[in-house]
Amino acid sequence: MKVEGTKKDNAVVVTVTGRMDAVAAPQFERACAAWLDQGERSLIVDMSGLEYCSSMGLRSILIIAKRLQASGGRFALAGLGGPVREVFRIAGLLPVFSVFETVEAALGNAG
Amino acid sequence: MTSWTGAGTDLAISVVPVFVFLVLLVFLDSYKLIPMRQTLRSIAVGCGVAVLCVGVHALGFRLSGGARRYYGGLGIPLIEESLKGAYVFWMTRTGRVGFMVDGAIAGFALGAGFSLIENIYYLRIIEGGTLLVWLLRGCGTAMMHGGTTAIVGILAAHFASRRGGAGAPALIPGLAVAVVIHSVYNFSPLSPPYSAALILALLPGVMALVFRSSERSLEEWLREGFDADIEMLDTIAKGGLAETHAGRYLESLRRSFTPEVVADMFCLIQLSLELAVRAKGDLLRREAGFESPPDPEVKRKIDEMEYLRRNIGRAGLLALEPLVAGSARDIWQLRLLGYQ
Repeated sequence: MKVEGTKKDNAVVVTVTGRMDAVAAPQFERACAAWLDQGERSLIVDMSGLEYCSSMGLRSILIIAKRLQASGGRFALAGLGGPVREVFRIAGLLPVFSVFETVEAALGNAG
Repeated sequence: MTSWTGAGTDLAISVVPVFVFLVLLVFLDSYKLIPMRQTLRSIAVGCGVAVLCVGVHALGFRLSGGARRYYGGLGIPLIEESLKGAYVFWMTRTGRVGFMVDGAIAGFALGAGFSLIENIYYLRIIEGGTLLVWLLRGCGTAMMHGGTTAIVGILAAHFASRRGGAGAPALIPGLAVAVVIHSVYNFSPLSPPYSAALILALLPGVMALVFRSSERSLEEWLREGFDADIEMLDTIAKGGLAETHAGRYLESLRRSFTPEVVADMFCLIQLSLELAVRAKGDLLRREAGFESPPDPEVKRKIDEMEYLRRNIGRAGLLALEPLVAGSARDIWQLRLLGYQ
């Protein structure tokens, strides 16, 4: 899995591509935590290139979302589609997050 | 008035340690999977079992004649632990307890309720008991009752987590350990203060080990179960079920059941998987600190599941057992979503 973070407007867009499994999920968590430690309070995760997300991936996403929520920050998912979206839907996790079709839509909503 | 105050103080001393320990156990449970009303119900059942035991023991002592010492040392532990353990076992069997932590809390709560009534009873028969007597009953006997029933719950949950392991054998190891501890405590060559000190020294350590092991087991089950369920759902969605072991088994059932029933069996497998993923999703939410509000979609799926189970019938469900709801933990995760 590849994780890349870019600062755009007032948010950090974290792009994840490939498979977010037990090995890769901690890498995502560390990358996001590094941005949060730098004081960033708005995170958008671009998942349009994500092919697979296991329970460890979901756990990492939930942990980062909770950390941001607790500090009054904002966490959003963008480009969630295909089988990965289905995993979120069946697990009942979609209502937990702000979900946008594209990164642009999420940035536009950042206010 | 003074005697009432004195009795109240004695009773408080004899039950406060066990209830403080129970509160600590509930507080330390990071997933909070046992609802508060279930803990209160366990306490109430423990009170009921103690009342029942007063009557049973009165009869037991009368019938044991010259062997009263043996009835006290062996008969009482066996009867009390069996009656307390029966409820914990029922909780495990019906999916109300899924992991060792839940078994520990449910069992300890039951033991706490038991010791409350037992100490009220002893308050009437021990006249002029000193503060030390009540302190020893509180830190020794009451903690022993909580601890032994917790052990029954822990081991019942451990063995029931295996496929097809929710039967009576799941109760036996815990019950045997509980009876031995209770018996040794009653026959102990140690003086009561030393026995109480030993219980107080060992119990927190045992519970800490159980909590750590149970959380590890839950995390492992959550991770492996979630991914396996998702993989199976993906296979079904892609029409590849026929190539799997489950698909071949389902195919073999076509010889014994009508096509409509086999179609419902297929739907039940898919629905059970979806609900299993949903339950694990709820646990992931709780673990991260998010709320899990009731979802009408889950209610609809549970109603559909009930409908399918009725259509498939008892024989069909029995045939499906290797594929659906094989262990007590499978039932437990459905109960987590509100399935009765």
